[in-house]
Amino acid sequence: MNSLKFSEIYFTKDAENFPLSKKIFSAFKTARKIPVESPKELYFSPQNAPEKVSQSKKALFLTVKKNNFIEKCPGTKEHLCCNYFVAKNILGCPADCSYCYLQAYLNIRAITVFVNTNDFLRDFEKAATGHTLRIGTGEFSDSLFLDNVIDVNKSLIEICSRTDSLLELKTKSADVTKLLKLNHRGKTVMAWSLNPFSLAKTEEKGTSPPSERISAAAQCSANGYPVAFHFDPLIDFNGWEKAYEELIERLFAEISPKNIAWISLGALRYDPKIKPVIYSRFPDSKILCGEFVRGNDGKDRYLKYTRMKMFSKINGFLKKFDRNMKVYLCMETPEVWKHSFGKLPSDIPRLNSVFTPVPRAHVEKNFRKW
Amino acid sequence: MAIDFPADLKEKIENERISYGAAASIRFLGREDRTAVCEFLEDLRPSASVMKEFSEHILDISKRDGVSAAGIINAPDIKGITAADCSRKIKTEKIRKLLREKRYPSLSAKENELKTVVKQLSLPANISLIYPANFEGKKVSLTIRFENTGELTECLDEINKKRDLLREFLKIL
Repeated sequence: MNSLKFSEIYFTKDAENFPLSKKIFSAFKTARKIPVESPKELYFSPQNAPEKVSQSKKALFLTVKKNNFIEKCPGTKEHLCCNYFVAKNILGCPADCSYCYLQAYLNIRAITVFVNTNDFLRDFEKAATGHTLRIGTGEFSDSLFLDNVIDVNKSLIEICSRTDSLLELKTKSADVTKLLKLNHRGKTVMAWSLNPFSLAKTEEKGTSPPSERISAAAQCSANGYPVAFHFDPLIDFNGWEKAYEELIERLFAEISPKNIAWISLGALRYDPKIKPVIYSRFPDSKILCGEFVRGNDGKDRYLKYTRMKMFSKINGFLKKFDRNMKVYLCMETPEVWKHSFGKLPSDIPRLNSVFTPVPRAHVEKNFRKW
Repeated sequence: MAIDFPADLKEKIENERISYGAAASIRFLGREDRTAVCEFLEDLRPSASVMKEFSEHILDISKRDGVSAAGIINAPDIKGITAADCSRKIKTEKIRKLLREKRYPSLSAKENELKTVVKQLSLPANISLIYPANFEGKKVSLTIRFENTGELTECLDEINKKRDLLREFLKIL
């Protein structure tokens, strides 16, 4: 993301005087500053007014969150969960990927930034201490796109360097310069979502090209960071096999498998509510033209035979470079796991660090499910 | 917060010619295609939910195949059904099947494969076989309805006789 521009900055009264708010006001001087009494003033229904999703990428909403910055990913019914924890300091993303679930999930017409950074960091440190968790900031936003202004990653990296937990910074940005020399002690995993070059061009607006993401990963790797890659969402299109194979070859031309913390595969899935939003905002996109069927969790997924074929093929492409890489499926059924990988994650010892659940008592005491 | 429909669709919804759910998909089509789909639905007059289903399928097929919605409706296979001398109900059912096959060719092929084996199984009316919707999962349930042990034994014998076909059935899932 080369240059961030926002036309409006909404803020609640209690957020106005936080140092981060002042920094944001000063960084985007031309943006109109609009006080709001309550977030409700910014609510909208993405399905009924998709054009407002586009507007929401050009506005910020500064507010204060009291607690529950860290939540356990709830997983979905009858699908295996990878025990991920999500840090929520930003809700929304300035990039514009056609398939992004946030388009229908978020109902505030601005990117929300919780400006009470110290409370967020306190919550984060509490969560990261005492148990080994994988915590990421890349579920409700991109971990890097806004960091030149928000500037929270260096604190998160520092906190994790003192704990047993792993921070995952998940992004489609290639701007990693300011992170390279930080003292991460191998506790921060720099992660990129990857899709073939042709798809990224049409479906991932406002992001760095995959070749630049891979080069950024190589830079991070050279500076000792473990790196991770998410082939998610995998998209079924004419020529997908060749396109993903080329992408993987390109990846391993620059990255050594031994520096890879994990790789996830996830086929395109969506809440049916997002369909009108995608059709309206991306009229030329064909991503919803595949054969999707409703799963037991209410989400639409490719027919399982398509998913299984994609997972086993891509796993095969990856395993050509290293048989022992930690490759896992995101939100998949036991049946699809067995068919695609021959085993369940519980039967793959190298995935223990990913799939072993955090003790329930610890989760119930410290986290809310989103 | 309602959808802001184009005027032509708004009027059709208000006059109850087109269901709201159908209009929610049709709005993504150009004016000419919208008119064609509305006319098609108004002639057929299916239920609101089937209207919605038809509209979604037409929109998806049109995008996938790069064919106009009018082109889909006016294709010989659909025209053959709409022009036939039969009730609207029969026409609707035939078009429903055809559009679904066009929208989901692999799923339909799998379903047909399964239906063929189920037909070969020709289970008696008091035994029913239920398999997972959309092939998500492999668990099958078999229900036997009986009034006495004699009927139960007959059913179990019948199932036992058809073990090979059942195996074939399970393989498809």
